[in-house]
Amino acid sequence: MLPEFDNKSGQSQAEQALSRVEQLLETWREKLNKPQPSERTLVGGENPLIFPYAKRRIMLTGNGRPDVLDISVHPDELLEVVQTLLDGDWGYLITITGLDLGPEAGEIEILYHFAEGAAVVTLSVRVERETAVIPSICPIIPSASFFERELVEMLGITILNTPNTDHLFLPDDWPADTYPLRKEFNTENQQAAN
Amino acid sequence: MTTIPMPTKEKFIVPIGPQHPALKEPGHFEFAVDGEIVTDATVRLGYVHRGIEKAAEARNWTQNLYLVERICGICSHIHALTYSLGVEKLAEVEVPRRAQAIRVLVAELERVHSHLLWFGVAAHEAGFDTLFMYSWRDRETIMDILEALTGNRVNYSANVLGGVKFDVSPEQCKVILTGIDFLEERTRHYLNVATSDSMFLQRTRGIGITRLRDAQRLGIVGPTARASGVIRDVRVDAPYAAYDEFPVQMVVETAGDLEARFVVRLKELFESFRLIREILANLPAGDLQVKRFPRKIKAGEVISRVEAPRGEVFYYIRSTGGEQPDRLKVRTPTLCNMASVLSLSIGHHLADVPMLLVGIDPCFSCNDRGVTISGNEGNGRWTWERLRQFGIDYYARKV
Amino acid sequence: MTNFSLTNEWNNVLLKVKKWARINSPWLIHYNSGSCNGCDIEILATLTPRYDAERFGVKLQGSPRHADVLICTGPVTRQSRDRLLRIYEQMPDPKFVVAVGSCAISGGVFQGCYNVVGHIDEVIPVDAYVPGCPPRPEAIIDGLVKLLTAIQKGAPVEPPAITQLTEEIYDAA
Repeated sequence: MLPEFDNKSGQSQAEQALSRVEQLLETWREKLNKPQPSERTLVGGENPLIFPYAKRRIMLTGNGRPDVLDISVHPDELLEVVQTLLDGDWGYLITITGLDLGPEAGEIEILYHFAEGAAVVTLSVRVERETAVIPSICPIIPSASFFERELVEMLGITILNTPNTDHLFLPDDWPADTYPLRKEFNTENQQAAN
Repeated sequence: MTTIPMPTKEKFIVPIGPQHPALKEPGHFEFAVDGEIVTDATVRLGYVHRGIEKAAEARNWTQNLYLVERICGICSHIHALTYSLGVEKLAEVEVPRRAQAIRVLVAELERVHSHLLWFGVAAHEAGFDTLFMYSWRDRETIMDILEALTGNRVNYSANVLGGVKFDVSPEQCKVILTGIDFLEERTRHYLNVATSDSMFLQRTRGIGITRLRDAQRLGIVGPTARASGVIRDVRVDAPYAAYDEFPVQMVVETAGDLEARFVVRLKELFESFRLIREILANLPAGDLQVKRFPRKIKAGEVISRVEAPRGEVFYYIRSTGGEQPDRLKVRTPTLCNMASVLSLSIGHHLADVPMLLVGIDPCFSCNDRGVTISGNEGNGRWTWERLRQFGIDYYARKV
Repeated sequence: MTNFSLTNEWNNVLLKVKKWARINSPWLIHYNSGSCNGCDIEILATLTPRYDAERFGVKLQGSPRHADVLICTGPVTRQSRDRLLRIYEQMPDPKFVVAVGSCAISGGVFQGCYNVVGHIDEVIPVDAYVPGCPPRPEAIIDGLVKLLTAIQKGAPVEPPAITQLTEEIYDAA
């Protein structure tokens, strides 16, 4: 039998999902990115305990409130956090975004987006740009393999224990140590090299 | 004649693609087979990888709208919609309700076109070309509607940042409603065919079963997941544009086989028809666009999720306050579903593979935003004699 | 088989028959070398009942070995470049290429993308161009008809020169 679902209750489900994930990630509570509370939060009888902040770092489109949570995680803790989410049966992995913050910042940020209903949780991992090493989450979530391959070839991140590091999108004769999504990669130069 | 010993570690690999009559788009698959049974599968993507994510960083916000529309020709409106919603959120621009309703209208019309297109192609893969021709003939109705509404058959370019380009006139309403009535009747017929034609059912019923647990484990999205009982539809879970005013009823099946995927998509068509009628009857009044949309977008990050005909489209957009995005990340549904085809095909007949592949409604241009025969898999060249003898030995051993 | 050449008169008749056959049943092969799918669905729509290109004897073929006309869509990506060349080389002579869509003609919106090598005629010679993003099915039919008319009006296409290799094959037979 299918569980009942109701269009109207989407928002309250998102609230429940978000409060559940807050409980799950209690250990990492101080790492939550809590931006300044804004007056927009407290419109129309919201539960201030569940949503103490509205304008978060990452915004979310949609017609509800911004049901998004982002947490900075140390690379060593990543597997533990992902395992906690999975054990708590919370959401599914949407994708992994790799983000080159540029040579000045000297860091690469990797965002793991999880969603349940309207609620999105983003785990953010920052690593050094030169020696970008993160653990693979494939042992926990096998379907992350494609996303991790993309990270490897597009940003040159070393992923420990990932099952496959072959090229997924780029051609086989793609020059080594050239990563298209790094900021120093220049399209014009690349065209000339073709 | 000497008998050839059964190869112990050698696999016979059947490469499919990138140019293949069953696949209109390039993707390369390698299926290791034991007789007719697939034992292993790999995929190589990237034949249509153009580097759009990087290109977007060099174009301004408005130019990117036209770039993302060309990520995929089938769901072009969805990509432009996801992008616009995200950029509008970043710019803190409130889009008029009428514009949002028209966006949903075009999105649903596009869903009808996409599902009918898929239905035809799936029928073609099943060897049912008559059905393919019928469904594509009927699909022209929706193409006419889209053309009348937007001016183009594909890549409608309906969105601008901050609204839509065109209005819906009462005459157009009439044309749409007539078309929808006709299509609803035809869809009823197709649903009947897909669930009762015995030849067709032999290709679909009980084939490629994905259980709920596996669907969740593999991260399958969209109608493919809903055919396995996964209750997940962004339109319902996290309403965007005007979906809160015009709610959708989710279509879920539990069987998880190819037949269920046909049924889910066809039933979704009825839901789309209902929604289109509802929108046309209750189109909110108001402007079509905001008066002014900033050229530079405030620094910030946004996640935009939209339900495309194939499943959830995910955009992550980051602005550093300039005229161009700092990062545009696109996650399309096919990438998630592709892994399911690979694991599903193992244990099935090779002849079922095109059907399994088409069951997820793959879209390679979405996906790639590549496959070469590696030749080092131990599949040396076999002479005809050796192949023949191998077949004889194989079946002798089986009996 | 030593005396393979025909008399001039008979050769001309043969060429005319071949041309007649070629124009009345051009078999197509379609390759997407990096397109967004828009052109591909319009090519497919061209073959379905509303537009019905089959009335010109047009048939979409799966194998390059059976095809006369290669229909290309999209810009050429680095990875599909070799495939495109391979498909072109596998087609029997005489062969014709139709580039469908803005991207196939000029690279379109994908100009300058790092994985795009260029447009179709930078890789293989093109005989007809169909502009549009994507072109309507009518435009694709028009492109095909223009190609066929050009073949009809043009000089009979000579078969490829008999190379050393083919002569050896004939001699061995």
